[in-house]
Amino acid sequence: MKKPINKGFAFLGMAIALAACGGGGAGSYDPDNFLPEGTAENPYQIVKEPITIKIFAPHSSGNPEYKDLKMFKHLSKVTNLKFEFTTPDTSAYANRRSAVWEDRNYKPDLFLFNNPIAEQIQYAENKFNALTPFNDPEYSDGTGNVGSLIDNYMPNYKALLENNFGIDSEKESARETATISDGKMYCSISAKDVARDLTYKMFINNVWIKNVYTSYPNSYCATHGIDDASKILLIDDYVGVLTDFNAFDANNNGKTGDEIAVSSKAFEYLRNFILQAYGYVSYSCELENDGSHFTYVPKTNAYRNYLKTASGMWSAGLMDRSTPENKTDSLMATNGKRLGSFVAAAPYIITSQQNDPNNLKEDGTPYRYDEEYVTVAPLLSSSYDGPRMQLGFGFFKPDGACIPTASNYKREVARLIDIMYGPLGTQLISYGVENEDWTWDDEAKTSWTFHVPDTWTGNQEEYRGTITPNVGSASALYWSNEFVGKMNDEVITRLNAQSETYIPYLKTPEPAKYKFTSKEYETISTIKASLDNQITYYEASFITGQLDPNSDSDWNDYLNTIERFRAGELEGLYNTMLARYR
Amino acid sequence: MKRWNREKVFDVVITVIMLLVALAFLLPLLNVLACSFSSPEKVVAGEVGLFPVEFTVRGYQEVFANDSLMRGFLNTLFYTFLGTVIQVTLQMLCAYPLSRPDFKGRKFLNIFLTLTMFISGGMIPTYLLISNLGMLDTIWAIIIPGCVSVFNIIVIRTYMQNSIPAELQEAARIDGCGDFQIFLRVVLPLCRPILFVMVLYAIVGYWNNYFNALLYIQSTDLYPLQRVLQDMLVTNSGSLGAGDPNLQEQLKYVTIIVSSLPLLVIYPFFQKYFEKGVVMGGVKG
Repeated sequence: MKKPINKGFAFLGMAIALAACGGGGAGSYDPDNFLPEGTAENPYQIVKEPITIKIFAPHSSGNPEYKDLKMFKHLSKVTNLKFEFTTPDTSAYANRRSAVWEDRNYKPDLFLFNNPIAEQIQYAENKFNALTPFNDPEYSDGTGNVGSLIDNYMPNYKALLENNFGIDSEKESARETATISDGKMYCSISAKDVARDLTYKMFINNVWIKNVYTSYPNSYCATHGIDDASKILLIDDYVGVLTDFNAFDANNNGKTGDEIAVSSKAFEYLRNFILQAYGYVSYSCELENDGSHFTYVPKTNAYRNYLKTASGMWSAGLMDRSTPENKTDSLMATNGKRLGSFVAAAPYIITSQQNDPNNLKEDGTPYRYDEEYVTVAPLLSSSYDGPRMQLGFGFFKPDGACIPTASNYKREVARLIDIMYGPLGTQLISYGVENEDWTWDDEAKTSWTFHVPDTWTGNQEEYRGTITPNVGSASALYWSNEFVGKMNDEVITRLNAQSETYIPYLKTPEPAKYKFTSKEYETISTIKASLDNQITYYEASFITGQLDPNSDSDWNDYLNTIERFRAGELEGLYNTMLARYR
Repeated sequence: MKRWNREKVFDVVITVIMLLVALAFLLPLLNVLACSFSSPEKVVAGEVGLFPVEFTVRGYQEVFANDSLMRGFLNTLFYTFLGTVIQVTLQMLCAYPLSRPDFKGRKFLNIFLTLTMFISGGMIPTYLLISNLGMLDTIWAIIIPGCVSVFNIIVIRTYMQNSIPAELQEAARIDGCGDFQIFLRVVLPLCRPILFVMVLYAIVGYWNNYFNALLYIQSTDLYPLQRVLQDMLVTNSGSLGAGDPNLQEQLKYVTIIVSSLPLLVIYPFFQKYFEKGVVMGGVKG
């Protein structure tokens, strides 16, 4: 009686319509549509008839979708280009980028922001012909002879490269940063010369220092003559001041012990600050001051001294107990007005309440807690008396914008990139459209004012995020002090002035002009994936007391462990690369 | 008597252990619930235990007034409903023939399907597939990938083999039923427990899924709730509680409650089927 089951039943499934494959073809390129120098009325116009430029860029939730950002709306208007954005979330960016190279249906015309140098080198070494060189006079493609994009279509960028963006080339060279071993530039550089964005900042409450100095004659401040943050010169001074914050009623509220001496979002921020006092600025491979070789810092005595100091601060209760929890700014801000010292982009982010209407100053203006904080300059220590150093993020990075060879619109995109390096582009990506988002204060253009609508409930940075991807998503192609430094804002002006104190001391531990081979990048990435975790684990263990940095046995165990995780090999790779450059 | 005492002691110990395990899960949940109804300042100060301190619903007002969160909530409801219907339908239709001993090629298909549990395409090939199918930045990129689980198919197949007598299906055929009619009128009604289990699995899966949205969705209008929450909680962005760090912290508790409450509410309705369905489906077939 059994009857075989209907075979068709087993093959039930969805009928999935395959997507149409159109849209990815080369199409016909019309060279006459391109305007190399714009028009007499509009120098920014790039094409006569609109064309669509496909842009691939990272996106974070701090920004609305790219198509809604004012910057790109304005660029579209003045250039006559239309933009089609593919903007993966920053957390999925690397995977999506890898996938896009394999995707036959989608070929971007422009990879904007965050272009990894390892990818550029890998593609160049293997001659994948994936990225268009910016500086090859012989370059041509299916659309004709393109030549050197920089020489032919990028006058702003060319001029900036020639004068090294106004930065002393002894410090850092834009051209060297942008060029890889075959002599070509496959990516424009992202440049910044605004002091406040060139390093991290350690703030300390100067009012508390003065309070302790005047009210407690037995305090460290009083006995060492520290009545101002500028008199903190040694790491011992800094720890002494923090000890005062803990021991006395530094904030003058009648209660001792409600002050938190120092806090940061994670150990790494304090690490940079303390480690500098012992002669290094980073926790990985760092170029020695004389440029002779790279040193893997976590195996040095300087690093051990940092651990001893941090461990002492922890056990003395100076360090915020939540430091290892990797907090956000907003979580730090919950204790904002109780913090004696902290690392942050700006104090107002942490003290959050900028104006206290219940607390008026003598001139009748509301009291501002963020005004109490000043920066602490790089320190020295009893075991290091060399030059003061501050971790520098670097002026240049070779990650700005890339043009895939598959794009038919290389000239057009080159001009678009060039506009972003010019005055209009730097203004747009920084603070938006002139006379809409900001206005010059005087005819001499010495300062300008940013306009945040009264109806906006968030802070200024959150509003800026509606204008430019420079908030959260990406670094600007050119974050120029020439424009940004002229912002008329009391808080920003003070922050700029405070940040300037760091500039003479900046040290980039791994200068961007040095580049590895793609094989070396791969090995370094593999080593760091596990080694960095070990360093983080041991750092927390040493600081919080599970291990003792003063114990030779613990220290040697640690050194043996990181050696097993290939710390020596990592250092060797850096020095091999350095030798190659020589 | 001695034996009775031993059993009693055993019961008491088991009960105590189970109570402790239940408390381990319940207490954090109660704390989160209490924090969501407490004053933000008290939450940040760590003064909230199992009961709200300075009761307030301000956090909930903020959340329900937030456009992106509410849109994410509605999107997730839609994705969960549609995805569950599709997933359960496909899995049941696939499991039934595999449960029939008279189906030729059954063994091969079983092995073939099982292989896919061990060998997957990987992230980038899957992305390319979704892209080539034209599903990027559409609701289908959330619903279709992973809408068939081989593990679930095996559980359903095993349930059908073990709990539905072949004689019943033969009787139906004698009465004139075709394969579809047997499936719809005999098999499906008897599969209620496993059906509910699969519905629950599908609901939980779609409700919690954010990774597909992270990879394949660009338009914020299509974001599911978990993707919106990821932005809020991980990157700490968005306009919620802007300017008030204490409120921003407390809103994390509120959003946890808002996002998990629907699942907590529906679970009791499925519970009575859950045990039976999983046990019967889990027996080796």
